Amino acid sequence: MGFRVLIVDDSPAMRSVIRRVILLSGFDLQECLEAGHGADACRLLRERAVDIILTDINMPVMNGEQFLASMRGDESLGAIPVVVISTDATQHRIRQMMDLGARGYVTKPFFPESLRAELERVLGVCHA
Amino acid sequence: MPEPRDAEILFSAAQQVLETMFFTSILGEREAPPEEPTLGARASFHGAPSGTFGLRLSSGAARAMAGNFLGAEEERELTEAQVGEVVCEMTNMICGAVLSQVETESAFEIRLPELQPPGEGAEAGATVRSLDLDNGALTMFLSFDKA
Amino acid sequence: MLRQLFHEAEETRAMRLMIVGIADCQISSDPESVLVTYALGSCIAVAIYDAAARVGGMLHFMLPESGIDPDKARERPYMFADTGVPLLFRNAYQQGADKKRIVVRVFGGAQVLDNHGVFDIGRRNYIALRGILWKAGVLIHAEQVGGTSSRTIRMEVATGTMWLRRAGAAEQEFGPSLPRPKG
Repeated sequence: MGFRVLIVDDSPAMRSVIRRVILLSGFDLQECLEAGHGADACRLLRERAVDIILTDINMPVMNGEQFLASMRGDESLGAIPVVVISTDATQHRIRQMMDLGARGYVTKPFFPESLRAELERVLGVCHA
Repeated sequence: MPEPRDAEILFSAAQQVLETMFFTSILGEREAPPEEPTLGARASFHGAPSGTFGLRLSSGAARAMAGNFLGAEEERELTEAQVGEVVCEMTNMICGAVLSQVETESAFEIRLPELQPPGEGAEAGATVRSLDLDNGALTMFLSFDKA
Repeated sequence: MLRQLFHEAEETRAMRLMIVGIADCQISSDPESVLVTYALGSCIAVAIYDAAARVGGMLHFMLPESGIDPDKARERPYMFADTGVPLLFRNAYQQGADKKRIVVRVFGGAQVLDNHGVFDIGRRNYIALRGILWKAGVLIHAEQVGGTSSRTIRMEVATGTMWLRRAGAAEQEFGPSLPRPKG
């Protein structure tokens, strides 16, 4: 059974890199959806099911913090694991996002192997 | 008023970002920004403190690093738009790395970086740091809003 | 005594040492071979292994980019990351390895004062290698890089198992374990 991933980031370049890491990591990827901010992500999630969400924090329209808070308020969406990928490496922000329900956190810049390891941990898969 | 510590923070943030995701080494300091054509971007940030961060890359370096970032075997196949998007994301990441060192206990927000027209330089009073890279030159500007 | 001599003779015969020198590369599909490279300082060793094909390869390179000396790069392509790494993979494919199955392990890149009088060549080698692998669409399975001490590594071609010895320390098996071969 393949994974369905939603990547939420206002940078098309970063979305491309994240997509590439997922493909190179050996995950059985069924579908990769993308959104430029939290509001677009919410619209997508009303129509499509996903198995994991990777989200930035600093985005226009609806940022990552607002996006996570809105998902938490929804019973079905709140169960989807979220990994935050952000330039904000402060302990304050990491705590805040984990308190909002994020299951993982990767700070930019990152080695592709670090993102792979975090995804494997959150999804409970191992390519070893 | 530029602080010496700001210059150090700029260097370490740039090194962290450029080495990790752009596979580029910093060779040393430059006295002045390069005179060749450059590509630049700027982002404002809000928090404690607020301010502006910007950078300029020599055109060759911008294209080479865009290829590195995206994993493109042939950098000449990248569009100008793709190179611009990568320069904006580089601006976002270096700014974030700077602020993560400066603002440890409060949240910060970085607005969407925007490409800047050629010739647009630093604001008055900004800390400016120019670096020689193994594929060109980088100049960074950092200024904090007055409290 | 006789039994011990017989056992040691058996072990020596079972182990065909293939030494990877500086600016060198070796590939093997012989299950009795062991690839070894010594005293990695600022140099980097890239060890690749395809468990299904039982093909192992090892490259020991010194410098990041061949552009500084194209003539030297033509003469000794394994000296540089950008010429050596593609050849390492190509050589392995010729012996039956498949890119999708290859597992990459990286060692070296220590901070030492090398012949060029530059402290950071190890770091630059590592950065260059990462860029090359990223563009080639290959992630690193495991690595031990940086620091200041030299490293000696060896790989059993039969199993892909690797051992690492740091200067002044005993040799240890290098984990994590290889992924199970696909297909």
